[in-house]
Amino acid sequence: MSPGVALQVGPGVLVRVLIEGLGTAGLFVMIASGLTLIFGLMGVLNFAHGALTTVGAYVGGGLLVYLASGGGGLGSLGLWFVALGATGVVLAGLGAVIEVGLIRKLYGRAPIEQILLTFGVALVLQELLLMLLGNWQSGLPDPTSSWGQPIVEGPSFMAAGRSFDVLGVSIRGFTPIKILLGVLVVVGVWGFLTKTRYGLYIRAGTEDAEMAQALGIDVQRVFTVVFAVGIGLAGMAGMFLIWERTYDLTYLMGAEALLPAFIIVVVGGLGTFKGTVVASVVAGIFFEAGIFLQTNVFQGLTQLNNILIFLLLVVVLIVRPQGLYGQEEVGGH
Amino acid sequence: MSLLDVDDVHTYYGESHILEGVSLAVERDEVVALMGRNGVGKTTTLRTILQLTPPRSGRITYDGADLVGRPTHEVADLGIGWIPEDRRIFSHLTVDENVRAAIPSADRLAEGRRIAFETFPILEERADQEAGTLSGGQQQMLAIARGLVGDNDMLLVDEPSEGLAPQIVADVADALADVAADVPMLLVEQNVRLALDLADRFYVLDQGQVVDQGDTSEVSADSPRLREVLSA
Repeated sequence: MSPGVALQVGPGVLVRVLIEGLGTAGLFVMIASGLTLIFGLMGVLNFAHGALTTVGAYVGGGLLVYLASGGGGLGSLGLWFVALGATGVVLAGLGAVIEVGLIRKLYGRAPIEQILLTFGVALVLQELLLMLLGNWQSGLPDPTSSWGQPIVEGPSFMAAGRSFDVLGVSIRGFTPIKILLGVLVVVGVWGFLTKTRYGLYIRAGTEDAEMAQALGIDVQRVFTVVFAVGIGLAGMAGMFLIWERTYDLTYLMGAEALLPAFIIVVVGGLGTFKGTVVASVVAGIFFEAGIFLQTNVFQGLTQLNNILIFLLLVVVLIVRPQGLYGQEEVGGH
Repeated sequence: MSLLDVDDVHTYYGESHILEGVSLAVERDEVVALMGRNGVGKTTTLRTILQLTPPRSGRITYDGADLVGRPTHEVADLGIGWIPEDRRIFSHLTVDENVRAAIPSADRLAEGRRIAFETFPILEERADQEAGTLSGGQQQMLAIARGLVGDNDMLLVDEPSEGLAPQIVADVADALADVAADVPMLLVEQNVRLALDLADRFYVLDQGQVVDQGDTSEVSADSPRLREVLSA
């Protein structure tokens, strides 16, 4: 803390950190829930998750530009949601192709082979993005490019500087959308897992894939669906990252977002959706608290938000190594 | 043609040759016991039939359909149920969810649950309880119930009495005897008396090979013929 700077934390600051933290939690849960579902069922640590998040960002951005250029009567919010949904579908399809074409070949092999494969997929995707996007990968997009303008501005409800008041506290216009989407993802995934027949198969397969197969459950198909859903969610999260002030819009953006997602999955307990949700909320609030502190108090500590999340990881690993809701053994096979 | 035919099957774990030309058959109206000491390949035989551990060579047919090379879920869809060693219930799912996971289609849900809960009323009382919190005997009942509701025409039953108290073993044996009246079984069981009570015929495995077979009426748990191949 620099001399003479006092940390004054009033109710307004706490409300802002809490609300912005829930927004960030919404983003985290979209990325991390796919990661945890894939690990929980398939035992695969998907290192390509971040790169696929980046692909989602550019697919979403591209769709937004395309839809915006066509006009139509949807308005900016409607166009944005159409682009978001389409991004989820496109990325889910890409996820299904990757699972069937690559990852399926390595089930039952040593975990290191799966890690190397998914890491390789990440590198290939990143380099492909770099090739396709040329020099447009450092800092914010060029506003003069055909992509740039709508992406920089975003839809009107979240345009730069747009905010609104909650209890006298200024909240960014984008935050309620992130909270809403986060809640929808949690409710949707929870409902899918607990209220549908397919969800029952997923939970059974997560616990004992071999037994599930012997009961007639096509676990291979369940793997594909889970991988597709997980990547679809990550892709949708990527679209949010475009406007996140803490992430640079580059071909490495998703890789940056992968680190907190991995931490959340470990803190929550590998493979547990409930743990991932709780850890996302805690990590989101820590993250925003870090941003507040590094912006207003410790100006030199530009990575305080990430440091706080790492501290969370360290404390949980010491106190409860299996994570908040984890079991000692996870992985369906 | 037998319901299940296993013909000269060779199965390996890595380079370990576990089944060395096993052949056996189960007819449509019988219970067949597969006996032998620990580690001779009894469980591997069941896993091989299910294609959980596919054989390197040999032929397995069920109701005329070749099983070798099929995914396990397709083998199960043909009507072969598995009640495995150690029960392998889904311990974090509820009792009801365990039963539902074994019912092959949504339109058979009500019927499947009725069968499971009529056969084992205690499971209905505990339907919403996490299955991992059940006693060993209740878990075995749940494992049997999953086999019953799966629309199965045959059951592969692996060590159903293992780890259970004698009174519970008697209950499980009664339940299996009821099931055996309608459903043919291939039964792996260390408890020779129980196996001979339930089965019509038997095979004895030793070092991955069938070394004896016959009608259970020909032998008893104390007969020298069995004692020689089953004693440790």
